[in-house]
Amino acid sequence: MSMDVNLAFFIDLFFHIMGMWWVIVPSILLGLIVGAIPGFSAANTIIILLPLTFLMEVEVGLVFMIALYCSSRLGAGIPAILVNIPGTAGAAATPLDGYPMAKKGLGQRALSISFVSSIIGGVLTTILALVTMPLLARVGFYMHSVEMIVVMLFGISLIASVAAKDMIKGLIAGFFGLMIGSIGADHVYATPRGTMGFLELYDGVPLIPALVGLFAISEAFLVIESGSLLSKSNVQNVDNASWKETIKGVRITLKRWYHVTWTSMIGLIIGVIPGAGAAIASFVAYQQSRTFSKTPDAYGTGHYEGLIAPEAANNGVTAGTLIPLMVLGIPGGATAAIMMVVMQYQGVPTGPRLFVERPELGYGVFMAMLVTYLLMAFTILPMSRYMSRVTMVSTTYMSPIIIAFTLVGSFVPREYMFDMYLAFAFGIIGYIARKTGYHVAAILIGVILGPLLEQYMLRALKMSDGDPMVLFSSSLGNILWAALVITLILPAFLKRRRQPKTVE
Amino acid sequence: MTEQDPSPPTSKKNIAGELILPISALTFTFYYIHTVIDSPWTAQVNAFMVGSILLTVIGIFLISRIVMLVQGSAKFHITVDRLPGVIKSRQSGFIGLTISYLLVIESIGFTLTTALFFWGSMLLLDYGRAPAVKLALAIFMALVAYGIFILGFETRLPKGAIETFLARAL
Amino acid sequence: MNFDAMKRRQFLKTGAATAGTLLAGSLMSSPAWAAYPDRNIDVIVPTRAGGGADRLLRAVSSVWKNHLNTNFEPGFFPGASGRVGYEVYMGKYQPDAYSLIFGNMGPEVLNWAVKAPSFDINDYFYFGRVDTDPGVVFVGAESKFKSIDDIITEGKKRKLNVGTSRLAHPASIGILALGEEVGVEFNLVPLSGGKKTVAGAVTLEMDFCVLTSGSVIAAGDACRTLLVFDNKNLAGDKLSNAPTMNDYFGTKLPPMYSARAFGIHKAAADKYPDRMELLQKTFKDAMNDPAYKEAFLKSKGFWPYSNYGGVAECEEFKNAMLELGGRYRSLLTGK
Repeated sequence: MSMDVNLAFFIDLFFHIMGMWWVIVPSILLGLIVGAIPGFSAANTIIILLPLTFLMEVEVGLVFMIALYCSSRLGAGIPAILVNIPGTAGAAATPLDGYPMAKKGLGQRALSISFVSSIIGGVLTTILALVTMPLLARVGFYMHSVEMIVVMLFGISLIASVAAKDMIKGLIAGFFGLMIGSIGADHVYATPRGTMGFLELYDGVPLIPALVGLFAISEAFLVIESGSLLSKSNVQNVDNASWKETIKGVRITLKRWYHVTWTSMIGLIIGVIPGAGAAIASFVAYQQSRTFSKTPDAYGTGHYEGLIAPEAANNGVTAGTLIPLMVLGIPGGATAAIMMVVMQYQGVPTGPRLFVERPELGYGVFMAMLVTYLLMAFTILPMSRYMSRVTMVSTTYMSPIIIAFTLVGSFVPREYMFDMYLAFAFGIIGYIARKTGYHVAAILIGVILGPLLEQYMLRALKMSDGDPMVLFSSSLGNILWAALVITLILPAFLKRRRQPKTVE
Repeated sequence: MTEQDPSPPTSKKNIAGELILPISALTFTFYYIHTVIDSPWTAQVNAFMVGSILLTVIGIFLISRIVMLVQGSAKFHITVDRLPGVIKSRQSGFIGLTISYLLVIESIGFTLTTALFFWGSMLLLDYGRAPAVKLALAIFMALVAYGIFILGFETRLPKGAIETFLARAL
Repeated sequence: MNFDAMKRRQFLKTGAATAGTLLAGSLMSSPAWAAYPDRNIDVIVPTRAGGGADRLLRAVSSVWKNHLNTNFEPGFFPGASGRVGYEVYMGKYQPDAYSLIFGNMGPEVLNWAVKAPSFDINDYFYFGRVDTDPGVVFVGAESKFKSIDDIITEGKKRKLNVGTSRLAHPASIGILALGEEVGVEFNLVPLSGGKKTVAGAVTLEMDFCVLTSGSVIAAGDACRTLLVFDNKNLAGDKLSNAPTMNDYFGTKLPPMYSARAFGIHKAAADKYPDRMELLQKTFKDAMNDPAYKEAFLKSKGFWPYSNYGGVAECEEFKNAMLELGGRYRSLLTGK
């Protein structure tokens, strides 16, 4: 290596990047905004600002992109918690417990929990990524299609958990979602399936319209029955909330540091696998968190751990997706792919040569991530108090805003009017589902994870010439299968063990 | 996520509403299978795996509801809604406004449609109180949206007279 | 589901939301007798903004606009492997030489061979090729295969899995042709996109992969190229100095290019031959303009792949793709 990489190097690098706060802080604010707007993401914001990024010095450009990437992840959690609008697939599991908290008037606490678990999760995984990068980069060599099928099934098994109250209706919702998720050209021969003649559905159901339709639009239709997102007694909660609520959120999260740690690790590992992503990670983390919880039935009602798990996990993904780019030269996700374009444009190598030729950039990227998370603790956390007031806005104003906002958000990623209509259609499906006792989250899990499962499944089957035994052909895969069976059986087992203590 | 409990407090459960989703799912599944019937196996795997489970589950569900009907513990009765008239009309009015929003946005442009939608729905939801204030608010919010999405992010939202005018003026 | 209402509003109507309004506004301001071009020219790009086509288009239009004295306005309509963009262009835009399509003659024409679009494919033609980028055979840096011979030897023992971005792609055709030539059957596994194809090779999930060379060059040391589907390896050591298929195996396969080109409605060319002539002439001038090379290099393009072509070259390539697509139709469609 051209430069000694030792502790002094890292300390120098840390302060050097800290000195770039003037790039990081504005990027954090921009990231928060674009993260909070459905349909926008770090990736498409960077594309919009690409001409600007090309003009920046490469180091500044990278720091800018990293800060935007991390903070947009955090930003996406805000509307997911407060108004049930997950703006990206990575935040799709956040409202499961975040929004019920907000509805109880605990929005400020929920935001605080989400921020702190994101930040701790982000910091931990970034440090871990820095230390074990070469090792983690190997994960992609072992997690192939077969293994990913099982990982998907971890996430999909959530359908059964969220539907625990009425299993049959939950399964109908979940499998209906999987069926909707199967719309689109098949991954091998590109045969259009279930597209109703719409070319816009050839690439599958676009995620943002499904997300905002099922969660937010249906909610906007429902809440006008009452004057506010909150019930009267809960309005009091928000009114009375002071800084203590934020601090309480911090305390709650710190007390569950262990929980934050292992769910963020799930995110890191899944993030490292090229092509996987935040949506899978947050659902799997949520599912794992629930499986090993002592109070699984509290999930979905505003349970702290149910909020910590997806938020810690999707921030773990952030560090994870950069590892294959940095170490192997293959981008792990959309944002990483654009970063690669920028790096190439600036003549910076990606892959192994990066750490040999420009270690200050290679490690600098992760250091920038670390610094961003640290700076976010000071800039974003205090905002939770003001942000949570959003839940107080009367539905007279809130519902129209949610509708317009989410319809635009559905339009943005592909700029097709069709996607607005689709969001509305999903809104109606969600509305009917809620009114008649079906779980919209179960539908959504199907829509999001179904296509991914199918893609891996078809790849594995195509590789084995259609032999289904391929699913059990790898030792790591078989270990994962066993783990899956255990996590499915474990809750019932734990419940039975605890049963004698509680009176029937 | 809080679900609405569909069953009224009366003893007999009305199952009409609960059937909408399974029947839609059933219809869609048959349609889906129809689109892949002549396709290579790769296009069919999912339809048959997911589809067969879905059909089985729906089958079980329907049987259970028929049993409930036969036993008399449930009823099948189509009512428009149990909600009081005012709220009901507000809700369907709001959904109607949303549909209108989608229908006219292409012809008159994003900003004007958004302003009209805000004004109309706020009036509807607030029983027509303070129309002038709401109009001002609606225009303001639509202009903010214009500023963010069309000016700021250069989103290719449908453009109409207002956008053309603003583009010239700015 | 309430899809019926949406279905009535046909795709074409929904697809190009703004296209219509933009056109309506601009049509009024252009009487037939005005000198062409008296307004901006729309360029429909059937891929995502921010991708390779976007950057290339910026470079070309930054120079071409000076020769044609008008600006180019790109509109991105990605989806269904390019189908959406073409359907929008053919269905929504007037054939008046004020709109062009900037497509990829390789994979997009192969699409038509697999499944015909809603319009007649002879209703548009390509008139200006910008670049040609050949397909290559490559492996991950840690692969045990060091040469194309290693692959063929192993391929005779077992059916190798070949990752490709999608079946209807020139690189896929290339490897099928190679298999036919050497008597080896390869199992093509589509991985949905270049990024995932590179990942498939690097992580060794696939035995080897085929892809357009640009993405492989971009992956740098992570990949090793073993064979190029072109008449010459123009990229040299950037593609591991790999041999070309025709040189190495003595075949006469046409180059398996991803070739970006401007296309136009045939009706526009028929109705306005003078406009067509002007477009062709100014495009050629722009491509020969030293400023273009500068712009191209500035956009980090790989200059040896810049490759001007006129109507004849484009037509020849389009027909070759249609012919190959027809020949391998059963493998590409699974039927």
